[in-house]
Amino acid sequence: MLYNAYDTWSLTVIFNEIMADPDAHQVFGLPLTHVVAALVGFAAFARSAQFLLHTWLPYTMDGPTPVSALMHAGIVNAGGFLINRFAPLFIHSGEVLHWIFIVGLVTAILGSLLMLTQNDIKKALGYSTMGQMGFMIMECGVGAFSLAIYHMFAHGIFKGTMFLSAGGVIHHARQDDGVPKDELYTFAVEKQPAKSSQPWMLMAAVTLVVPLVILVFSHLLIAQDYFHKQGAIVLLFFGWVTGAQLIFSTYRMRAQNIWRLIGLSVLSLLVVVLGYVFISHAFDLFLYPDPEFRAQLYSAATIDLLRFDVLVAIVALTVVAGWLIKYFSEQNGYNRRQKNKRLWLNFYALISREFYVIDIYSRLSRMLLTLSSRMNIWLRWL
Amino acid sequence: MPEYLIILLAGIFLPLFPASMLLNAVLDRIQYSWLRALVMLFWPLPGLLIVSGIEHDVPVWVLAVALATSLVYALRMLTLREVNQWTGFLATSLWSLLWLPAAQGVQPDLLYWSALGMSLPLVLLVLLAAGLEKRFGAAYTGLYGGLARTIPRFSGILVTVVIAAIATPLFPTFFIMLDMIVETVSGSPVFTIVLLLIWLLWSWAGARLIQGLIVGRSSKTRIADLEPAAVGLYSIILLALMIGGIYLGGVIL
Repeated sequence: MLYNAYDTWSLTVIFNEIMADPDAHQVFGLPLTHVVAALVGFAAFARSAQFLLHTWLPYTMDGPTPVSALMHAGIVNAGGFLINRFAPLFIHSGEVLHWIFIVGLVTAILGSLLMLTQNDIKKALGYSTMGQMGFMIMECGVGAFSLAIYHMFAHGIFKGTMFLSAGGVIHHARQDDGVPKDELYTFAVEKQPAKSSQPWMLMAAVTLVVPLVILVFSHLLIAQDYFHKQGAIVLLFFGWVTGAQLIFSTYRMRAQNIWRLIGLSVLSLLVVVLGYVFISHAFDLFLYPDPEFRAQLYSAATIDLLRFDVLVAIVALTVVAGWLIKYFSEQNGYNRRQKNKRLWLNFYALISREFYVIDIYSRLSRMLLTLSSRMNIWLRWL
Repeated sequence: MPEYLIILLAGIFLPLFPASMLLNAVLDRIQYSWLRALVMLFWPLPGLLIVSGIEHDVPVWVLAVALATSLVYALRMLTLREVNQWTGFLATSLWSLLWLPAAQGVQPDLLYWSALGMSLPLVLLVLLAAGLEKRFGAAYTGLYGGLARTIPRFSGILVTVVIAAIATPLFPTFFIMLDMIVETVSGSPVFTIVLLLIWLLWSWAGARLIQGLIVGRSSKTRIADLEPAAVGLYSIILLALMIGGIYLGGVIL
């Protein structure tokens, strides 16, 4: 479509012409930029295993593990790269960016949920990649294009490492009896007193306050007027959610010295969040040196203030709710009421069947193969 | 001669259903692989010659039938297990698409080169199918698997040839398909969608063919692999196809 409209294959020339007059061409009664941006977004969804186009990723684990490492550290990231390469199109296609955000969000949530229910370590890593790709696509959807590239690098390195060490984990699991060494185990089998859990309230406060303080100060350091822009708040929020996730993971660890654990948590959080802010800023300057272009990218992804505030509140409440659920579960000794238990089991069944997406696709494939076979019989294989 | 008769005649060589069944019946009856390879190489050329003689524009219904023929044969390829039949159906699916550039008034010599670029991987596939028949008695997927272990050189060449045949970059068919999509996307988006579906079905059928031969449990019987000289020859032809594909892409796009 771009070639037909601009009579060149050069993206530079095409982008220059689009910047000069974005609405010069129409396709099917819609602006060309919107249609092409939507198609590029769709291609990125397929390449980066977004929900409903994701099944190829966790089901291609039969190959050698180094190949999986290469695939998950490389090929699957192409979606973020593709959207970045076509960034000048997305400046004029804000609505498409919003859809990209929604698809990324759904994928991030469902990918992470599916990851938690897998027994196969490689498949769990596959679904983890799906969740991460959702996160990366979501970053593009909020206009943080360069952050998606940083995410691409970071995810590539850590996921490659995780795949390469997956064999070691399996080896370790074969040597261990596999019984989870929780409080009950240590009390009943090892005859040791139960370890005290980390102070819930303190960790929750650290989760909510520390990342926010660090982000506010680091952003103030970079640019004084940062908080007048919605894009900056988005970045801040990404940093905050990442930091909160880190502390939440740390909370689940067992430690003898609680103050040392908290100190380490805050320190690692400091490294993550500061790195996040400064590196994302550096990537922004490197990939999109033109400040006006950067502003346009964020502006294209901007939604009205009310919706934005509601979204921010929902995410904040989700983090707080996570802590509350953790608290009440600990208080009840992880016992659920009968009604909740049934609901929980149904939910678990749904996730363990991977939302029946694979079943539906398999059924459709079988139908097509049956049709193909019948046609061959009717036409005598000629 | 009336135009519809010319089109019907051309429809035998640039297959239009049901005349396309004739091509597959002919291929089915040929016993010699060298003869089948020759048919694969030259079959579409008379069709292109006939089409170039049509004075008026090719009617749209002919293009629709050509696309439908290609789609039906691509779909039918999915459940074929005999490699020669599979090659014949792919040839039908590929050559019927030549109606599109022919109708767009692409220069005849460029059309011949395009047809040749489409046919050459099929010729190689016919020769490889003959190699399978010689080694196993039949070129049949799912009958004997694990060729990657038993005859790795043969398997490598077979996979590359299948990839070349199903329009993967940088082989000529890829650029021909890309050109068809560029030409149809603005005027006839439905044609573009059908073209993309056909392309998808080729890939699926190719993956099923490779899956049925290359992977799986291998036989313990020792089987002669391709001679290094033959591997070299196949590789040179494939490399030439790739270079030709890039060149053709530069000319037609």
